[in-house]
Amino acid sequence: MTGPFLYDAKRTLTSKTVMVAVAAMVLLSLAVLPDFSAGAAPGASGGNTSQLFVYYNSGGYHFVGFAWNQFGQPLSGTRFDVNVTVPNLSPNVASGSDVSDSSGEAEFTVAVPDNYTYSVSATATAPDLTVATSGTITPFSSATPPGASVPLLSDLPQEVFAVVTDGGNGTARDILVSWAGPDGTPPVGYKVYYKFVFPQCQTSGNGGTSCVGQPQQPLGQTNAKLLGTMSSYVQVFHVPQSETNFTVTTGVLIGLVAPNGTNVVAITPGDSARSDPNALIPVSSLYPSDSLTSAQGSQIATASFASIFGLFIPLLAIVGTYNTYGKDRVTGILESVLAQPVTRRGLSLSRYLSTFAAMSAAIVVSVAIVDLIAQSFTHSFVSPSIVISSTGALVVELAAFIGIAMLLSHLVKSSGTLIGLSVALFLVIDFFQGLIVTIAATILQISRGSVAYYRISVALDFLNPAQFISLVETYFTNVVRFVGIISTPSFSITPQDYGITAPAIVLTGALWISIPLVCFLYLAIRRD
Amino acid sequence: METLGAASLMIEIANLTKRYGGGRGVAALDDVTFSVSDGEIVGFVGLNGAGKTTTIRITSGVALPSSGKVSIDGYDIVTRKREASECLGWVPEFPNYEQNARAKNLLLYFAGFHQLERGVAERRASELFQRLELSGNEGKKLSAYSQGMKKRFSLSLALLPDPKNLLFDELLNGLDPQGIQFIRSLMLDLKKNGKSVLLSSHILSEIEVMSDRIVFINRGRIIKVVTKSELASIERSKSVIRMVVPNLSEAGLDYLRGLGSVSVEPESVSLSGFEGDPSAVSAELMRRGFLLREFSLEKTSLEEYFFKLVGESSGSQAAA
Repeated sequence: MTGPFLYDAKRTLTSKTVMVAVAAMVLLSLAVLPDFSAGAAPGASGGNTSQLFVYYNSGGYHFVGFAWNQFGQPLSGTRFDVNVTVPNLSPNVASGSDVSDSSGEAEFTVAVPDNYTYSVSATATAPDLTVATSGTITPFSSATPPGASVPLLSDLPQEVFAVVTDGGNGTARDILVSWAGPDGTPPVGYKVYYKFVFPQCQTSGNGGTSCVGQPQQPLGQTNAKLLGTMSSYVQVFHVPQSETNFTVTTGVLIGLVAPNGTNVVAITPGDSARSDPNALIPVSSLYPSDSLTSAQGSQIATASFASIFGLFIPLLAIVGTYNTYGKDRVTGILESVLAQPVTRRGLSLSRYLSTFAAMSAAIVVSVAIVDLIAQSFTHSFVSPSIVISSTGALVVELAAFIGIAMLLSHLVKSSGTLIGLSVALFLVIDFFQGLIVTIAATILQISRGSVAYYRISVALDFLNPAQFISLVETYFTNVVRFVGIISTPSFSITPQDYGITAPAIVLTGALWISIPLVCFLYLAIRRD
Repeated sequence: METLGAASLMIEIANLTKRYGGGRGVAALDDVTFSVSDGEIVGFVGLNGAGKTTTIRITSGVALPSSGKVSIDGYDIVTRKREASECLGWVPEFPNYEQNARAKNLLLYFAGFHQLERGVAERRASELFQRLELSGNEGKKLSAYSQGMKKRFSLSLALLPDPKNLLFDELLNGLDPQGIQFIRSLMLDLKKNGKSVLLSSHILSEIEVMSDRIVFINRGRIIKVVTKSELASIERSKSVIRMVVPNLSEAGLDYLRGLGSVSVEPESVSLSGFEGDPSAVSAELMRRGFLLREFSLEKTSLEEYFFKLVGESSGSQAAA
């Protein structure tokens, strides 16, 4: 039997109808996108920007400037202007400027005597960029010994670690690190470390948020992971691999460590208010669509399994089965196949299993797509137990409806009747369960919203293969949904109180697979 | 009862009964028993609704019997369906295939059930399309085929695996004289190659020409099975010799009365019930000096014989 069985199965698998049904199923998975996109992903991050480092030596103040665009690529034509005000000196202002070249770099010197505290105002100007800053520099302080480079245009230390748009994926972000080594040399060998932190954040009385739990010590080899090693003034690194338990308060600590082990950002001068030597970049900046938490993503995915897939799988199963078996059966075309060396059992099973296999594969792919969508929005996959059980529930639903549709094709005599009956079945079990619950409750004089009302609804979920996925969803989420045409209200319950236990679900699934299949096979083998 | 392989190479139908509507439903077939031997062509004759198609459908494996048994080369069509179908080709009365399928693709699909290798199947399909004058239409969808083309396609499908046994249900319907001529020639080939053929048709003259035996069925029951020679004998026994003999004497009439029943009319004499060679009668009359102005044999046709059988059968069934 194997030969003809596989032969016919292969033909069914590769039939246009099955392919269209599979494609439709896969396309359905994209229907979750609007839900996930509720916190729409931002566009490209930032714009043109720059950084200006200054170091002092006996020749004066030396400035090294860098400019880059939103993708972290070098930006030529950016003009850097610096005015150094020297107290108690006449003239008391010295100036310098330069324009960035094709590598995005500019370099110039402002010669002033030492031993003074200088006020420095610096401006970087480009067509789409104007950055201005001012402050004081104290040469020979412990923080800025001669030769030490100091970033000038940024609110340290975050802007040393700028977030830019990934050049290959506009929705992804990269981390741009800019630094100048001693005496303005490129920071070759400097290491960039990162660490995810999950500070406990609280909303204060005035509406602000304060977070504790950030590590205060500098990041390094012992307490963080290496993001990469610098080899030039400006370098772009891919964001670290996301973790599964992000929350809206999760941040990424980033530190830059010199080859001698010194956390160079920690030596930033003039920022006494900053107690943390590292940069804390919010996860939402690095993972821009991260407005959804993993829990929210999981909820959306689970709801989509129950609503979108649960709703359409019966329709796809009915349509697919009609084309792979029902139509041939009621029009008599199947007889031309049955006259070949194939048994009734073999032919029936071949059509059933091939239809089931193709559509099951489509379900698996669709669920995987939803999971990937969830991951892309939340940076965490849906819990494997939910994915596996939901996939299993959808496959059970599929098997039940294929079996029912094939069974129906043995009970009616014409295509019209078969289609009509199938569509009626789909409409009733998919859309009118809520109405059936209401009617049953009315007859039994049970008030809406009572425990007994919920019991009727859950009991009907057990009796309706289209609602099998809802049982599974309820089991995992403690939420029961009432499927209606206009709305799908949901309520929280304790599943066990309503008989929704793992054994009950497994038994129900097994019965929904086997009963229609056995009945169908009985008629296919025993009746003309 | 079940035999295997070469032990019994033929179509055997034993006590076949088919009831619609359950055990006490209407019997479409009632205890039908006959067989088709190797190299034999059996004509299957009956009125519409007599049970011919039901018998053939059950024999082909597409319908199930209520009771009784059908064996193809010893394989039970119900319990050893796959093996039995390997040895069987079927041309239904109304070929019904996937309309959107292209003829050659569908033929190759069916060849797969017979485990024919692709190359072999393609070669055989080309031969059959050529032989059945479907060349040039291999790539067309079946929806574009005429009824006659579908019939020929169905025939190519039946012949594709070169089965030992063939069931032709009203094969001649819808065929033009050329097509009928082709079928005659095909039947000769099949017979020569030792195939067993069960052929139902309304065209009794063709059945008479092609068949080695004829099975008559009426209201689901076999009412008569006759061989070709028996049929010839029946025809002869039921034939009438009509002659015009101007100088026929009483001695001549005595001679004719010795051969059968004689009816003397004003212009002619009729001899019925004679089972011998009519030419011997004419020779003897001339030898005795009688002048034969006219001498004709009016045979009873198969159709007349069939209707007579049906009438007798219906009468006896009604009486029963």
